[in-house]
Amino acid sequence: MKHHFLIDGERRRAWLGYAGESHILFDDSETPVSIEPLGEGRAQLQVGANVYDVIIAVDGDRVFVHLDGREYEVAFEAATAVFEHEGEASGDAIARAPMPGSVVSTPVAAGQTVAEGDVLIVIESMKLETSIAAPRAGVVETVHVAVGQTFDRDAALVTLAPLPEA
Amino acid sequence: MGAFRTVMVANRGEIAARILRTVRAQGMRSVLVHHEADRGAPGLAMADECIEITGRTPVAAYLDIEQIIAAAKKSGAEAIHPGYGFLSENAGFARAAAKAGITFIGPGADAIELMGDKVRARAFVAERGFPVAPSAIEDDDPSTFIERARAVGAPLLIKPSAGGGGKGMRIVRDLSKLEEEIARAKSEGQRYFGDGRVYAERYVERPRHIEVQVLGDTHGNVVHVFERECSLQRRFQKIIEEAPSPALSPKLRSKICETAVGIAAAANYSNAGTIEFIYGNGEFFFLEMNTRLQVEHPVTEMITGIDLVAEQLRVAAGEPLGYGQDAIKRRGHAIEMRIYAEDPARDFAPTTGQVLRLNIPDNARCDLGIAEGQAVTAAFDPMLAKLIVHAETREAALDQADIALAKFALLGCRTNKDFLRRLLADPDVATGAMHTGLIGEKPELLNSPEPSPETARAVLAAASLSLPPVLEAAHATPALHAAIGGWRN
Repeated sequence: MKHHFLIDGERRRAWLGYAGESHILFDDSETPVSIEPLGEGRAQLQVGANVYDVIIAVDGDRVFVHLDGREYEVAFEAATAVFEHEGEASGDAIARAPMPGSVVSTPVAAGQTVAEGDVLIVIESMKLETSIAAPRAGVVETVHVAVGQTFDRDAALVTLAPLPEA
Repeated sequence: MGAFRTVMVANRGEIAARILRTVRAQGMRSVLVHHEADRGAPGLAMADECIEITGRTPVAAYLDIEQIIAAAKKSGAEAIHPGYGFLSENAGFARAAAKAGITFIGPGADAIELMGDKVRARAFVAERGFPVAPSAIEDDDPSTFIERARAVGAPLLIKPSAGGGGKGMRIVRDLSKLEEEIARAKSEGQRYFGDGRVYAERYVERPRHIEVQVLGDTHGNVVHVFERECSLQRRFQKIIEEAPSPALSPKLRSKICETAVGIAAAANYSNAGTIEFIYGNGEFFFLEMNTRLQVEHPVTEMITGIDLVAEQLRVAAGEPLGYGQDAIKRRGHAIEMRIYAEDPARDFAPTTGQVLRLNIPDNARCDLGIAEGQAVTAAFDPMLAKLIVHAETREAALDQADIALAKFALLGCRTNKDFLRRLLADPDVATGAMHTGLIGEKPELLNSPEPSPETARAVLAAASLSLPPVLEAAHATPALHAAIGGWRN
């Protein structure tokens, strides 16, 4: 399992590990990372062999990062909030809203069989469009929301049931 | 000695702070009106006295002549500086101030009125022999308007007489469609401005926008303070300005600046003003005159060392300029970049948010209209700050501009600053080959490039190490488990 992040709206997945004294960032590789706060949001960030002067501001689940002359907005979605039971082979999985927002489209209907990676629902939160994809193959049990509907954080969006036994 | 004892600023944001800086430096007492929505703004911390004004909307408060004049009287202000926008070009406000015995820091109400009416201003300038684009004005004789417009020749620009901001304008390249396009422009003018009158003028393809700063006193003296190039625009609004213009030869510079002085003198103009020209194919035409301080006035200040607000205060108090044209020298090159709360990738739609953190570059003048902790809302114009750099050459100024933009940080609300960096790095901008349609022709500049994998990793690391839930999850997971592959899926 990894945490889900949106960098300027693009989904990224990463996990932070802690090994004794230091942190390791797991994305598609493993990189030792550390940060030294310098006050007023300024910090020195070390990522592997690279050192960056950064300015960071945290606002709830959002982190704003100024790095190499550019600003990035990172939205953190608790990994468990997007899909409960992700990775489990059996049992229902419920996609929950990582943030308050509204429904942009619902490309699947109840009863439909979907493959891993199929888009189940497209939502908009904080002006960012996010597609929530099926973590595995299954049958759409319920689409809890309609296009245009607004929802709160953690609202159930789509329930995905396991594929029937062949 | 100050020109006034107490000066009130009837504006907000960066320009309020900019004006207050000079008022204070001159040793005068400063007063600022403000709507509640501007609580926490930089200007409020600078003014000696702040007076709250109210309105149906925040903008309505800043447009409320009666309330602002009453505030000025109450504070004992002898003069009001209107800044730009809001009441700055409102002849009624200038008259109301005069009636209340308060000096309006700007030109006389008659000059404001003359230049505020585009068609009248144009006719005034043309009658005195200054260049305006060849044109036909419907009002002169509506029955012959179409024939007269046809005689001007293509391409033509049809403009609503009551218009502004580019609304209702139509370009006609094919004269066989002239009648149809005029009919459309008239109906659009009626819809937008409640006035269907139009005029047609020769359209300059890929034009540059060059304007000249003028200063006049109440003793009949007028000088120019050189030109500014303002061709980089989006939605008919300037976003980067510079001085001097890279397009002008010394001969053409003298000609355009002298023309501006001639127009201002003919209008009996006092105080600071700007005459805007359209320039293309070696020709320039009068566009309009702005009877106030401009947003982009700092580039002029940087290359000449003149504090335009200080000059405005002096001449408003009746002092003569006290120097001639020859005394005004320029040095080097200055560039201003406007930081807007907007998303270029979404057609420059305004953005909102809270200013969590600001970082001001140390190599630029920063005219800042917002402070840490303030919210950026849709209540006002989305311009938040201006960065102005000055260097010996244009190349050096462009380098400084990029450094300033890279150092500038506003965390918590998306701004156009990355777009400004890409725009300044564009080869046509770098060589000075600009025109007002340049941004529209380069949609590829609007989108931020994807961060490199290395940068994305660094951003993820910064975010992960700053988010309590991510840190907690890291510390809650046994190191061995993490190392074995608990992160895999």
